[in-house]
Amino acid sequence: MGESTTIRWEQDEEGIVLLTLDDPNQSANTMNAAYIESMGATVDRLQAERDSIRGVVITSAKKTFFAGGDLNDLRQVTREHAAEFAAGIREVKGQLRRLESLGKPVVAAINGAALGGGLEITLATHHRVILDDPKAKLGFPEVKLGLLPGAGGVVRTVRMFGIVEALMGLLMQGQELRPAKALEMGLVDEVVATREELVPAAKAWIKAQPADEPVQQPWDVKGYKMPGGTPSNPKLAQNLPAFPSNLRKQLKGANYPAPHHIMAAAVEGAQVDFDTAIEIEGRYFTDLATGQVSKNMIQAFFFDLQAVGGDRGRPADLETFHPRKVVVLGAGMMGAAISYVCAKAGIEVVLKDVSLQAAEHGKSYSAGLLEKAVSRGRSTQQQADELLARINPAQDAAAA
Amino acid sequence: MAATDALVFDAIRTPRGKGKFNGSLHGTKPVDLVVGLMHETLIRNEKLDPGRVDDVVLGCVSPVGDQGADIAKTAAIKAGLPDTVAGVQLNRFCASGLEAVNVAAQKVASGWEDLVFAGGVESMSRVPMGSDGGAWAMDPETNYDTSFVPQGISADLIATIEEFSREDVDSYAARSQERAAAAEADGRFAGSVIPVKDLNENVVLDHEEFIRPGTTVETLGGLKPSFAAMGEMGGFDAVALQKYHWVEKIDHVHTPGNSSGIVDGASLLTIGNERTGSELGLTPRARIMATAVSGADPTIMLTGPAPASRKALAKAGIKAEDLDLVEINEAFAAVVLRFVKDMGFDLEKVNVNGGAIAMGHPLGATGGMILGTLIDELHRTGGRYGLATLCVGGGMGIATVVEAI
Repeated sequence: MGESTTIRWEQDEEGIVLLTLDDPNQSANTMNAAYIESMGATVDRLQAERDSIRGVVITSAKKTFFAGGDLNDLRQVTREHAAEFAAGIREVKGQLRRLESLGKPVVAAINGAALGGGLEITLATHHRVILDDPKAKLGFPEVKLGLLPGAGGVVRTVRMFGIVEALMGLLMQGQELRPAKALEMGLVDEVVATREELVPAAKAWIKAQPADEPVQQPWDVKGYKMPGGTPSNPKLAQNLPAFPSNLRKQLKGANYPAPHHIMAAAVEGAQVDFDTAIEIEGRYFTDLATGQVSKNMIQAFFFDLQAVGGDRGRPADLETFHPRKVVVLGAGMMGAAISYVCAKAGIEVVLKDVSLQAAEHGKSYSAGLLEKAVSRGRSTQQQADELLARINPAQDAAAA
Repeated sequence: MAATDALVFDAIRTPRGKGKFNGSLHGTKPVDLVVGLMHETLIRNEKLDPGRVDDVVLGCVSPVGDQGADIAKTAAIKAGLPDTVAGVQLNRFCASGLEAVNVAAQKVASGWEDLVFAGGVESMSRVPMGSDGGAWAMDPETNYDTSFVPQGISADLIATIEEFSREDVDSYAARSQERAAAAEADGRFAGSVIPVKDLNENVVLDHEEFIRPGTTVETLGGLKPSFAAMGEMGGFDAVALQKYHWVEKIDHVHTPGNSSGIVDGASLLTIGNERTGSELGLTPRARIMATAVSGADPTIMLTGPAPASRKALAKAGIKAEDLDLVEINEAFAAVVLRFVKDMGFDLEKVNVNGGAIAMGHPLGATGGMILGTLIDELHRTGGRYGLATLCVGGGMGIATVVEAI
């Protein structure tokens, strides 16, 4: 039996176990080998001590809740690892399945971003409470890296929202949802304003559950019906043949296996029981993860982008250039917008056109945007005034 | 005549009823359409001992619900045929009826069976097209990977590639209506179309219900294209165009007026060898010379009749120009026009008594219907060789070559 090095266990006097995800070796929690061992040991212990447990809260000690799959690990698996990889994800999903089937209320106390694997962990709980933080985002970005949510994310969202909403609202485009939107959709159940309220709110929900009735996921309750129906539902069946064709239309025939596999896993999984659906999802995930397209996308859109965004290739002794003033020639549609973004970045702007009137007109574009921002509470009047003051319309080049 | 020649002794069919709730056959169960034809076959051929029938082979494209669970054997039992008469339902999409005939011919030609009932049934008003689902359309992985499109898109793609205009296809449709109306008025179908009766022997339908006499190119021109919205909103045009990338856009020329009608109906042929026929007092009407199936690209889908016909003609040992008459199922007007062009046929030999555009296409039954029509017309006109063919889902084509006796 393994040891839990990344998940802390604290049980309070009421019997509620607080699990804190906190990988000591990384700034963010990921689904690495240490996590898998820790989660395995934790679930074993939960099952062993089940009778003395009132409920479980899962939270994180990091800034984010959980970052998802480990891309360094993922980009190393190749076709030869297909069997091993499939077994590995079966393990991860088995743990989450055991967690949601514990019979005790399990709550996710989501303190920050839970993307990909992080969101999948929360979906294996019975109740999700999220902190209303601007950085707390939920979603499945896997598709953008040529992957799919392979820890039950496809299977559980399809069972929560139905095939169409899960595909369109979460899986196929990798939308990221802020807490309010996630609450509206039903992806989370509760939003709290401060971090201090988070775990207490989670515990309060547990205490509100009858202690003697086992808590089940909706899809494990007898008589469960999938929202929007399964593919045998005539209404869905009528439209189903157009799903792949519309995807092909969108992709213009380009080789993006991820949305194709996500759609297939969602529809096929909806026709079978939960555990078989999980296995089908795993097959499609294994194909994506071991294939070349996801490698290329992970390289380009994660590692290369990170490198480009960093200081790669820049001499260390070179002082960073900070522009303080910019002269924009022409206050038309383009010049007006350039002036706005420069002024917004704190740069003094001279906006020159053939007449002062034309230059003023260009500046009025910024005034309009700011007025709207203030009226919607996205900016204060003072901020708006300061920004606008940085834009100086001019007719004469000498004004620069 | 060889001992194992497959001979057609009889070929009858029901009239085709509109395939809607207000169609005359909507209240008649598909099994009863078949039972009616079985009884009629035994009445018409009074010495036919049903105990001599080895098997009943029926085509049915949506074999679920009323049409499920082997409707061939179900009909045989309900018709009171002896327990020894077996039954099998098969599905080769729109070719199912002709496939049933061909399988029956192959059974007889192999010498392993002597007498077989073959045909098909489809009550499209009761069991709508697509009721049986299937991976091709319904499974996203299969659908995507095989570039699935509905047949209407394929038909429009053929018209686009061949530059058949809306007027071309409407003119063909008007011709089908005119010929069907004339043939029916002339009583050319009377010998083979068996009225459908209810349990009180009251007539439910005794004529082709779908024909619209007086249809003109002008009236057809007012109809809206059937597949434009599906092609655009459903993404199917894009799928077809990704494969046929040299085509700029699909011209949606097909409408309900120049496509086959949705109808209810059944067909039943009696096929056996010469010895059995003479023992049972049956008169051979045609010899099945060859059968063939073949295929073409599944996305354009409906160009299979030409390769299948060439294959069947080669097996029969005759040339295209030896044919006196040709029946090609009018799934869509462009299918007929493309086939005639592919084969270099004179249109005057083709579908001389109209076709499915005028009378309807009861999917599983049609093959048996058009083969019967072909044999009747060969006899009426004194022709010798005839070809029946259909385009088929999945790109397949099927063909049967007969010689009138």
